[in-house]
Amino acid sequence: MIQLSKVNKRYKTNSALENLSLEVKAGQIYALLGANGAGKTTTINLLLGFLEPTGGDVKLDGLSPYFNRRKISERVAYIPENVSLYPFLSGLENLEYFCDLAGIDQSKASLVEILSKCGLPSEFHGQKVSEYSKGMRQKVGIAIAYAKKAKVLLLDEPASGLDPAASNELTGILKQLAGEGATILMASHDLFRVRETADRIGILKHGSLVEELNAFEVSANNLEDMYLQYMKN
Amino acid sequence: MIRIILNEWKGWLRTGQFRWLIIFLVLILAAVSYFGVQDVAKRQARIDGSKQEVRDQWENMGASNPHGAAHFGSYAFKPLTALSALDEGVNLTAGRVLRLEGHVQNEIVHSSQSQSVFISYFGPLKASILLQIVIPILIIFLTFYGIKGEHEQGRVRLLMVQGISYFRLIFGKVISVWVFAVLVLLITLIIQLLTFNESISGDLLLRTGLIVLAYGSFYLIIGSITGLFSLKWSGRSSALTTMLAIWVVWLIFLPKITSWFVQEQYPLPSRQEFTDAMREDRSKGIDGHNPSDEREKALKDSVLKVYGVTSVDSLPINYDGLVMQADEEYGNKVWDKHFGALFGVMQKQKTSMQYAGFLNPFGSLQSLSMGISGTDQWSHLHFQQEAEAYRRVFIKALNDEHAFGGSRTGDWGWKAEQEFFNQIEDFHYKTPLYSKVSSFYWPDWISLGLWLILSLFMLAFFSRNANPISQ
Amino acid sequence: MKKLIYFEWLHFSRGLARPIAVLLFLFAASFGIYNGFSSYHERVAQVQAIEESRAESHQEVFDWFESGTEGPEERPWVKISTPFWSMWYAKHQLIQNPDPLMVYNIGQSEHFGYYKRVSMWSTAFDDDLAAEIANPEFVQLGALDFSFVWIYLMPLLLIVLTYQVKGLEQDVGILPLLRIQQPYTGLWLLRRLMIIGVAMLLLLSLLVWIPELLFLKSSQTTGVFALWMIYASYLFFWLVLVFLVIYFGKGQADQALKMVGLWLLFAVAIPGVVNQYVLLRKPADLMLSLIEANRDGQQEIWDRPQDKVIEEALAVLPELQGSDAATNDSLLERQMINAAYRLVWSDYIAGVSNKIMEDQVGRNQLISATYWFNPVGGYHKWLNGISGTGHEASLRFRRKIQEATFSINQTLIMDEWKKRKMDRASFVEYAQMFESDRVMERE
Repeated sequence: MIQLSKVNKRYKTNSALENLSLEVKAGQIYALLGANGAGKTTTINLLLGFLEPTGGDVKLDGLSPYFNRRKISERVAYIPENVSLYPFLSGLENLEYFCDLAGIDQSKASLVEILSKCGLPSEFHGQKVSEYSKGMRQKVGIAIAYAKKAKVLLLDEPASGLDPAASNELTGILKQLAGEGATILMASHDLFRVRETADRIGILKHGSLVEELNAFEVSANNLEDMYLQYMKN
Repeated sequence: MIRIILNEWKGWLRTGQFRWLIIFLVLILAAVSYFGVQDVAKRQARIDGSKQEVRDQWENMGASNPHGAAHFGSYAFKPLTALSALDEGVNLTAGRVLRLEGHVQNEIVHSSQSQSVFISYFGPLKASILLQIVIPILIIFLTFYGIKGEHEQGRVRLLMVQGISYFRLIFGKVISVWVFAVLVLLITLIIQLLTFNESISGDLLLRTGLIVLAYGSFYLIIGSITGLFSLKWSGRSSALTTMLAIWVVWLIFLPKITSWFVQEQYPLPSRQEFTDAMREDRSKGIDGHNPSDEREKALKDSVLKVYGVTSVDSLPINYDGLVMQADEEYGNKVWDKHFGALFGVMQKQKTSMQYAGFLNPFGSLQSLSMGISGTDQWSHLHFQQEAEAYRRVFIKALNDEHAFGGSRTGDWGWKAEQEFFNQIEDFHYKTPLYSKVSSFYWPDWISLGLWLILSLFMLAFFSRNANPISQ
Repeated sequence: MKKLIYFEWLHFSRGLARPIAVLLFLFAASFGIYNGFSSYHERVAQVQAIEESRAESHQEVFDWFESGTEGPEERPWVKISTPFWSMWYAKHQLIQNPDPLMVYNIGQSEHFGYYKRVSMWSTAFDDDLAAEIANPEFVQLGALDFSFVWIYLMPLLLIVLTYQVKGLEQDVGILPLLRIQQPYTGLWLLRRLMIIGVAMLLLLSLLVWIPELLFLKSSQTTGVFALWMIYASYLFFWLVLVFLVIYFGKGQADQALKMVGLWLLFAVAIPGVVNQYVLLRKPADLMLSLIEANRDGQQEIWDRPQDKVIEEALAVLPELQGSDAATNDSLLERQMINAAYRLVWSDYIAGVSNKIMEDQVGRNQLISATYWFNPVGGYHKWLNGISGTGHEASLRFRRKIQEATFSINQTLIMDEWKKRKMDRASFVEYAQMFESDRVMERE
């Protein structure tokens, strides 16, 4: 579903990605680990079609995102680190608005159901987002992705700033979505959460993939040692 | 797009500060419109009352010598147009009273602003002040924060992933503010029309429609340019400062600078030079030909020839009346020459200011607002010309009566009956229909149109080609 | 403090917007001063031209006296040896001398005439006392003088220079850090604003004193100092407002919006509301009373019986009582009687004019009562008072015109009744009647 082969991305003189190749299949959760500036967000922006690769090939559902932004937006959902919603609207209204922009016609009842399914308690559906916690906003963000029935979910540091319970809940939701067939790529530097959530893990350093492994192959401790080792070298 | 607009409005209405600001703005516009209409009605009633009183004096002066009546004179009071309630234009600076008498063409005097200490640089708080100054700044702030807000709060990616193009997002923001501004404009104009005391003519409706078109275009220009700067300038302060600077430059700076430049290009004579030149031409003849004594001799010879007599005392008519009328007619020619030149210079000044609108669309809006409201320089000069045309008919009637009414030359004590004076109609000025004067305002419309096309094109071009995540 | 100034300089110089705003302001201020200077010089030149033309016309009269003729050939009815015609040909020009402080403050002067020929028939509201010929749209735009720049553009410059103070710190989230480093945020803010305020004061001083030294050759030090004080106090007023906005501000946008809002309130809305209120309460005078006076009033005086008018003239001017004509009717000649009619008329029209002026003073009082909440209007009046370019100066000029008319008629009747025979010396005496009145109309 997601295919990057020998992708390069340069900003003026700086190289953000160098020969990055990776593949994420349908139903799989792939986590990109890396320090700040490793190229995680650039990878997501390339997949969203906001950036044009300097070299190599980026494919999402067989399409090149940069040249098919409109079609890509039908297939992909995006959840940033900080889901910024309209503070003057309620969670339900935000969901309704974003669905409307995407051309999704959902009844109010089904939107309520989606919000509940994504873990937002029903008593908060009508409350203004300005009163939400970060985790609650994250859930609305996931609901937006869910309502869109996106084949691909791109998450940028989704667990950052969430408390352990909310973080754990997020893992559950993502696994559920993957179980329903969604392809998920998440960028993170939270080793523990990645180990818990992802099926496959890639470690990025200076824009290159230095390690790729299956999550079940490593314990959280091993993963941390491995990661720190790579960062040192 | 509609969804974006509605969402934007919902945002304003649900944000306490904005909600109060909008309510306050609509209320103040309603109040300003209401008081504006009342003020104009009150002032017009005073004008009508004064006109009537002056006419009553004329109709009750009793039997008089026609030449004495020419000095008794008449007065033209410049009426207010219905849309003066919207835009005062030059009303308060240009005076309203014109004395019409024999021998001399007076000036319109006794302006409101010459009758008190300084009150306000921008004039009384008429709807046009709010619509020209306050609404644009609100457009700047709302558009700017509408666009910058999406970027700063990191919603742009989320919105675009939903499939909406950046172009649509930006246009949606610009249009939502624009529609709001136009709604405020419409509310203002509807209140004006509803509180207007007289019947609403087709011309007034046309003028009101054109006001909507002019202001609506300007608002879209301001919105689009703000949108453009919000896209192009990544820093919050530089975009806002630039936009505010443009507002100041358009509103205050350029009109002043261009008016100074235009006055330097096309200077007007001083009052002294103007009156000296008129006096000179009148006594020595236009361009030094045909001085007054030669003119009088020629007139005398021709009159004596027509009546077949050898001296003016033998004429069956009052020769003095003919002399006065001939002098009047020559004076008219002199006035036409000098006032024509003055008018020409003022027209050149006005046209240059209109062309300056290609640099400053606010100038075009101001010119159109005053022009459509019938309160601009052209309307003022038109009144002066119409009053002068009346003066000529008025004085000729009196001179003819003096000459042919039954008196003889030198008989200054002869009096015409009151009925004769009552027959001379009073001066009634009617503001010309917009369709008759529309050609004056084409440069303003073209300038506004070009600015509109250019700003929309630039916004479309840059929003289509912009990289939303680099903003 | 040195460090604070240094950091303030960094804030100012890193970025184009603020230096450009200052440059634009400097350009506008210099242009305003230039504009004021050229307006002043135009007026000086105009006054000079009037004086010259008057001197030429006086020379003509001197020639008549020297050649023993009574006047121009084409006007055989002129008798220059009579007080009436001597007075007529004295061609008195009352002039409100242009004030050099116009360089800074053109004020309302474009709305008023500043010279007028005064004769026995003049009134304070004659049409020839109209302002200079001007395009009404330009008059409506108002003059771009230094006062305009300082009153309307200086606050905008101050907004550009200060809306980021504390707002930027708040927006980027370093305000708590700042509060830990500097517990007295108010003091920190005050210091920053003080630096900007002092810089603005220096700018003002340069803009005000350089023209005084260069163009006015240090001739108006007291007046310029008074103006400088007013401009400085206006700056202080805005600094206080800006301080309050920033102190209670919630970020750059909030501060910018509030500051621009205050500018709109003080520069546009409040003066606009006052203007509208004054229009509703005391609409512009259409001078109906003057029209009536010039029509019915004048006619009524001329229709009065001669003995009644003589009696009235004696009451108006008791000095006439002792003259021969006053005691013996048979000595009264036509021109002497006419002089009495004119005296009575000028006394009457002075009353009408005074009433109009009183109304205008009433309108001014109505406006002045708003200055406690309408500071911009107050500052304008203050400045116009100092530079003699306001309505009050024009009223004083009008009063002088009315007094001069009366004085002409008074002199005429005294001399007519004495049957004074005019010669060159007495003509010069007439011609110089109002020389001492040519002063500036400062408050």
